[in-house]
Amino acid sequence: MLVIMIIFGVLTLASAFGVVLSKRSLHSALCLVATMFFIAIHFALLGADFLAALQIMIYAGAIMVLVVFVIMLLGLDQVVDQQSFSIPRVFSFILAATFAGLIAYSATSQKVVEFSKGVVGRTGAETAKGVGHLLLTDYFFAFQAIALLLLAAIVGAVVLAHDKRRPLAKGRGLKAMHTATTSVAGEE
Amino acid sequence: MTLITQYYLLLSGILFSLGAVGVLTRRNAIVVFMCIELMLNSVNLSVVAFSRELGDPHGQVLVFFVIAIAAAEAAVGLAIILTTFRNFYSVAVDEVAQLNG
Repeated sequence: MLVIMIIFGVLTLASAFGVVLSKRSLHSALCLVATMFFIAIHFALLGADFLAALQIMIYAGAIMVLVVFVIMLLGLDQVVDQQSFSIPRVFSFILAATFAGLIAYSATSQKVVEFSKGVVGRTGAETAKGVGHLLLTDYFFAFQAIALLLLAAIVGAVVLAHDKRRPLAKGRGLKAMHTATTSVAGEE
Repeated sequence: MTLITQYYLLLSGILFSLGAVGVLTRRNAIVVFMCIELMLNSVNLSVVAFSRELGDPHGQVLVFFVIAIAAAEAAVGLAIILTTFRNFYSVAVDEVAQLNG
Protein backbone atom coordinates (compact mmCIF):
# COMPACT_ATOMS: atom_id res chain seq x y z
CA MET A 1 0.00 0.00 0.00
CA LEU A 2 2.78 2.39 0.87
CA VAL A 3 4.43 1.60 -2.47
CA ILE A 4 1.32 2.73 -4.35
CA MET A 5 1.18 5.84 -2.18
CA ILE A 6 4.82 6.62 -2.94
CA ILE A 7 4.34 6.13 -6.69
CA PHE A 8 1.38 8.51 -6.78
CA GLY A 9 3.25 10.87 -4.46
CA VAL A 10 6.12 11.13 -6.93
CA LEU A 11 3.61 11.81 -9.71
CA THR A 12 1.95 14.51 -7.58
CA LEU A 13 5.33 16.17 -6.99
CA ALA A 14 6.17 16.02 -10.69
CA SER A 15 2.94 17.75 -11.70
CA ALA A 16 3.35 20.30 -8.87
CA PHE A 17 6.80 21.17 -10.26
CA GLY A 18 5.07 21.60 -13.61
CA VAL A 19 2.63 24.09 -12.08
CA VAL A 20 5.36 26.24 -10.58
CA LEU A 21 7.98 26.08 -13.31
CA SER A 22 5.98 26.17 -16.57
CA LYS A 23 6.63 29.04 -18.93
CA ARG A 24 3.07 29.15 -20.24
CA SER A 25 0.14 29.67 -17.87
CA LEU A 26 -2.01 27.14 -19.74
CA HIS A 27 0.60 24.44 -19.07
CA SER A 28 0.50 25.40 -15.39
CA ALA A 29 -3.29 25.08 -15.38
CA LEU A 30 -3.20 21.62 -16.95
CA CYS A 31 -0.48 20.48 -14.54
CA LEU A 32 -2.64 21.72 -11.69
CA VAL A 33 -5.60 19.67 -12.97
CA ALA A 34 -3.30 16.62 -12.93
CA THR A 35 -2.18 17.50 -9.39
CA MET A 36 -5.81 17.73 -8.25
CA PHE A 37 -6.50 14.29 -9.70
CA PHE A 38 -3.48 12.78 -7.94
CA ILE A 39 -4.51 14.37 -4.64
CA ALA A 40 -7.99 12.89 -5.12
CA ILE A 41 -6.29 9.50 -5.53
CA HIS A 42 -4.42 10.15 -2.27
CA PHE A 43 -7.73 10.94 -0.57
CA ALA A 44 -9.14 7.63 -1.81
CA LEU A 45 -6.03 5.78 -0.60
CA LEU A 46 -6.49 7.35 2.83
CA GLY A 47 -10.09 6.12 2.98
CA ALA A 48 -11.83 9.45 2.38
CA ASP A 49 -13.94 8.39 -0.60
CA PHE A 50 -16.55 11.18 -0.37
CA LEU A 51 -13.77 13.77 -0.33
CA ALA A 52 -12.06 12.17 -3.32
CA ALA A 53 -15.27 12.51 -5.34
CA LEU A 54 -15.74 16.10 -4.12
CA GLN A 55 -12.17 17.01 -5.00
CA ILE A 56 -12.62 15.84 -8.60
CA MET A 57 -16.07 17.39 -8.99
CA ILE A 58 -15.40 20.78 -7.44
CA TYR A 59 -11.66 21.41 -7.76
CA ALA A 60 -10.71 19.69 -11.00
CA GLY A 61 -14.14 20.00 -12.55
CA ALA A 62 -15.27 23.50 -11.67
CA ILE A 63 -12.48 25.67 -10.29
CA MET A 64 -9.84 24.64 -12.83
CA VAL A 65 -12.35 25.00 -15.68
CA LEU A 66 -12.97 28.56 -14.48
CA VAL A 67 -9.23 29.24 -14.41
CA VAL A 68 -8.77 27.90 -17.93
CA PHE A 69 -11.74 30.05 -19.08
CA VAL A 70 -10.09 33.16 -17.67
CA ILE A 71 -6.70 32.30 -19.20
CA MET A 72 -8.22 31.82 -22.64
CA LEU A 73 -10.48 34.89 -22.27
CA LEU A 74 -7.55 37.16 -21.51
CA GLY A 75 -5.48 35.64 -24.30
CA LEU A 76 -2.73 34.60 -21.89
CA ASP A 77 -2.11 31.30 -23.61
CA GLN A 78 0.12 33.14 -26.07
CA VAL A 79 2.21 34.89 -23.43
CA VAL A 80 5.51 33.23 -22.50
CA ASP A 81 6.93 34.01 -19.06
CA GLN A 82 10.62 34.78 -19.10
CA GLN A 83 12.32 32.89 -16.30
CA SER A 84 15.58 34.22 -14.95
CA PHE A 85 17.83 33.52 -11.98
CA SER A 86 17.49 36.70 -9.96
CA ILE A 87 18.35 37.22 -6.32
CA PRO A 88 14.73 37.17 -5.02
CA ARG A 89 14.09 33.96 -6.92
CA VAL A 90 17.12 32.20 -5.39
CA PHE A 91 16.17 33.53 -1.96
CA SER A 92 12.62 32.18 -2.25
CA PHE A 93 13.97 28.76 -3.28
CA ILE A 94 16.25 28.71 -0.21
CA LEU A 95 13.38 29.78 2.03
CA ALA A 96 11.06 27.11 0.67
CA ALA A 97 13.76 24.43 0.97
CA THR A 98 14.31 25.44 4.61
CA PHE A 99 10.61 25.21 5.30
CA ALA A 100 10.33 21.81 3.63
CA GLY A 101 13.35 20.62 5.61
CA LEU A 102 11.76 21.73 8.88
CA ILE A 103 8.56 19.90 8.02
CA ALA A 104 10.55 16.79 7.09
CA TYR A 105 12.44 16.93 10.38
CA SER A 106 9.31 17.37 12.48
CA ALA A 107 7.50 14.62 10.60
CA THR A 108 10.18 12.03 11.21
CA SER A 109 11.78 13.01 14.53
CA GLN A 110 11.62 10.48 17.33
CA LYS A 111 9.77 12.66 19.85
CA VAL A 112 6.85 13.16 17.46
CA VAL A 113 6.72 9.51 16.43
CA GLU A 114 6.07 8.49 20.02
CA PHE A 115 2.76 10.37 19.93
CA SER A 116 1.14 7.34 18.39
CA LYS A 117 -2.26 6.01 19.26
CA GLY A 118 -2.41 3.47 16.51
CA VAL A 119 -4.43 3.77 13.36
CA VAL A 120 -8.19 3.68 13.63
CA GLY A 121 -8.73 3.71 9.88
CA ARG A 122 -12.26 3.67 8.58
CA THR A 123 -14.96 4.44 11.11
CA GLY A 124 -17.83 4.29 8.66
CA ALA A 125 -18.18 8.04 8.85
CA GLU A 126 -16.09 8.85 5.78
CA THR A 127 -18.86 8.08 3.34
CA ALA A 128 -21.29 10.66 2.02
CA LYS A 129 -23.75 9.46 4.66
CA GLY A 130 -21.29 9.98 7.49
CA VAL A 131 -20.02 13.38 6.42
CA GLY A 132 -23.55 14.49 5.54
CA HIS A 133 -24.77 13.49 9.00
CA LEU A 134 -22.02 15.59 10.60
CA LEU A 135 -22.75 18.53 8.33
CA LEU A 136 -26.42 18.56 9.24
CA THR A 137 -25.97 18.11 12.98
CA ASP A 138 -22.68 19.39 14.41
CA TYR A 139 -21.80 21.83 11.64
CA PHE A 140 -25.24 23.00 10.62
CA PHE A 141 -24.55 26.68 11.20
CA ALA A 142 -21.31 26.52 9.24
CA PHE A 143 -23.14 24.70 6.43
CA GLN A 144 -25.72 27.47 6.13
CA ALA A 145 -22.99 30.09 6.35
CA ILE A 146 -21.09 28.43 3.51
CA ALA A 147 -24.22 28.52 1.35
CA LEU A 148 -24.55 32.25 2.05
CA LEU A 149 -20.86 32.75 1.31
CA LEU A 150 -21.18 31.02 -2.06
CA LEU A 151 -24.17 33.19 -2.93
CA ALA A 152 -22.25 36.33 -2.00
CA ALA A 153 -19.24 35.15 -4.02
CA ILE A 154 -21.39 34.48 -7.11
CA VAL A 155 -23.09 37.87 -6.90
CA GLY A 156 -19.76 39.59 -6.33
CA ALA A 157 -18.10 37.79 -9.23
CA VAL A 158 -20.93 38.67 -11.63
CA VAL A 159 -20.89 42.32 -10.56
CA LEU A 160 -17.09 42.55 -10.85
CA ALA A 161 -16.80 40.79 -14.17
CA HIS A 162 -19.70 42.55 -15.88
CA ASP A 163 -18.44 44.57 -18.81
CA LYS A 164 -20.10 47.98 -18.49
CA ARG A 165 -19.23 48.93 -22.05
CA ARG A 166 -21.77 46.50 -23.41
CA PRO A 167 -25.44 46.99 -22.35
CA LEU A 168 -27.37 43.83 -21.59
CA ALA A 169 -30.74 44.67 -23.16
CA LYS A 170 -32.47 47.88 -24.13
CA GLY A 171 -35.43 48.49 -21.87
CA ARG A 172 -36.47 46.29 -19.01
CA GLY A 173 -38.55 43.25 -18.49
CA LEU A 174 -39.11 39.89 -20.06
CA LYS A 175 -40.18 41.27 -23.46
CA ALA A 176 -36.91 43.18 -23.92
CA MET A 177 -34.88 40.10 -22.97
CA HIS A 178 -36.93 37.96 -25.37
CA THR A 179 -36.40 40.43 -28.21
CA ALA A 180 -32.67 40.63 -27.51
CA THR A 181 -32.15 36.85 -27.54
CA THR A 182 -34.31 36.14 -30.58
CA SER A 183 -32.65 38.87 -32.63
CA VAL A 184 -29.25 37.29 -31.93
CA ALA A 185 -30.62 33.86 -32.85
CA GLY A 186 -32.14 35.32 -36.02
CA GLU A 187 -28.75 36.58 -37.18
CA GLU A 188 -27.29 33.11 -37.02
CA MET B 1 2.46 9.05 14.22
CA THR B 2 2.50 6.10 11.89
CA LEU B 3 4.71 5.82 8.85
CA ILE B 4 1.93 6.64 6.39
CA THR B 5 0.97 9.80 8.27
CA GLN B 6 4.63 10.83 8.36
CA TYR B 7 4.88 10.28 4.63
CA TYR B 8 1.78 12.35 3.92
CA LEU B 9 2.96 15.13 6.21
CA LEU B 10 6.25 15.19 4.31
CA LEU B 11 4.47 15.22 0.94
CA SER B 12 2.14 17.97 2.13
CA GLY B 13 5.09 20.05 3.37
CA ILE B 14 6.91 19.76 0.05
CA LEU B 15 3.79 20.66 -1.93
CA PHE B 16 3.23 23.66 0.35
CA SER B 17 6.82 24.84 -0.16
CA LEU B 18 6.46 24.47 -3.93
CA GLY B 19 3.29 26.55 -3.82
CA ALA B 20 5.06 29.17 -1.71
CA VAL B 21 7.93 29.36 -4.20
CA GLY B 22 5.39 29.83 -6.97
CA VAL B 23 3.58 32.61 -5.14
CA LEU B 24 6.82 34.45 -4.40
CA THR B 25 8.44 33.95 -7.78
CA ARG B 26 5.96 34.10 -10.64
CA ARG B 27 4.91 37.28 -12.39
CA ASN B 28 1.61 36.12 -13.83
CA ALA B 29 -1.25 36.74 -11.40
CA ILE B 30 -3.18 33.67 -12.53
CA VAL B 31 -0.18 31.39 -11.93
CA VAL B 32 0.17 32.96 -8.46
CA PHE B 33 -3.50 32.12 -7.87
CA MET B 34 -2.94 28.53 -8.99
CA CYS B 35 -0.01 28.17 -6.59
CA ILE B 36 -2.26 29.36 -3.76
CA GLU B 37 -4.70 26.59 -4.71
CA LEU B 38 -1.77 24.15 -4.59
CA MET B 39 -1.00 25.26 -1.03
CA LEU B 40 -4.65 24.79 -0.02
CA ASN B 41 -4.61 21.28 -1.46
CA SER B 42 -1.45 20.37 0.43
CA VAL B 43 -3.09 21.37 3.70
CA ASN B 44 -6.19 19.35 2.79
CA LEU B 45 -3.95 16.32 2.26
CA SER B 46 -2.35 16.59 5.69
CA VAL B 47 -5.73 17.07 7.42
CA VAL B 48 -7.11 13.92 5.73
CA ALA B 49 -3.99 11.95 6.73
CA PHE B 50 -4.44 12.93 10.38
CA SER B 51 -8.19 12.29 10.20
CA ARG B 52 -7.45 8.73 9.07
CA GLU B 53 -4.96 8.09 11.84
CA LEU B 54 -7.11 9.46 14.66
CA GLY B 55 -10.33 8.00 13.29
CA ASP B 56 -11.95 11.42 13.47
CA PRO B 57 -14.33 12.28 10.62
CA HIS B 58 -14.44 15.94 11.71
CA GLY B 59 -11.20 16.44 9.78
CA GLN B 60 -12.97 15.55 6.56
CA VAL B 61 -15.76 18.02 7.31
CA LEU B 62 -13.04 20.66 7.66
CA VAL B 63 -11.66 19.70 4.24
CA PHE B 64 -15.19 19.96 2.81
CA PHE B 65 -15.44 23.53 4.07
CA VAL B 66 -11.95 24.39 2.80
CA ILE B 67 -12.91 23.14 -0.68
CA ALA B 68 -16.13 25.19 -0.63
CA ILE B 69 -14.34 28.34 0.51
CA ALA B 70 -11.64 27.82 -2.13
CA ALA B 71 -14.39 27.67 -4.76
CA ALA B 72 -15.85 30.99 -3.58
CA GLU B 73 -12.37 32.51 -3.46
CA ALA B 74 -11.66 31.29 -6.98
CA ALA B 75 -14.79 32.97 -8.34
CA VAL B 76 -14.12 36.32 -6.71
CA GLY B 77 -10.35 36.26 -7.30
CA LEU B 78 -10.69 35.53 -11.00
CA ALA B 79 -13.31 38.27 -11.34
CA ILE B 80 -10.85 40.69 -9.75
CA ILE B 81 -8.11 39.55 -12.15
CA LEU B 82 -10.50 40.07 -15.10
CA THR B 83 -11.38 43.59 -13.96
CA THR B 84 -7.71 44.42 -13.37
CA PHE B 85 -6.85 43.21 -16.85
CA ARG B 86 -9.57 45.42 -18.34
CA ASN B 87 -8.11 48.49 -16.70
CA PHE B 88 -4.36 47.86 -16.90
CA TYR B 89 -4.18 45.48 -19.91
CA SER B 90 -1.68 43.37 -17.98
CA VAL B 91 -1.81 40.61 -15.37
CA ALA B 92 1.83 40.90 -14.32
CA VAL B 93 1.91 41.47 -10.57
CA ASP B 94 4.78 43.93 -10.74
CA GLU B 95 3.18 46.10 -13.42
CA VAL B 96 -0.10 46.70 -11.60
CA ALA B 97 1.57 49.08 -9.18
CA GLN B 98 -0.43 52.31 -9.27
CA LEU B 99 -1.10 52.33 -5.54
CA ASN B 100 2.65 52.28 -4.77
CA GLY B 101 4.43 55.36 -3.49
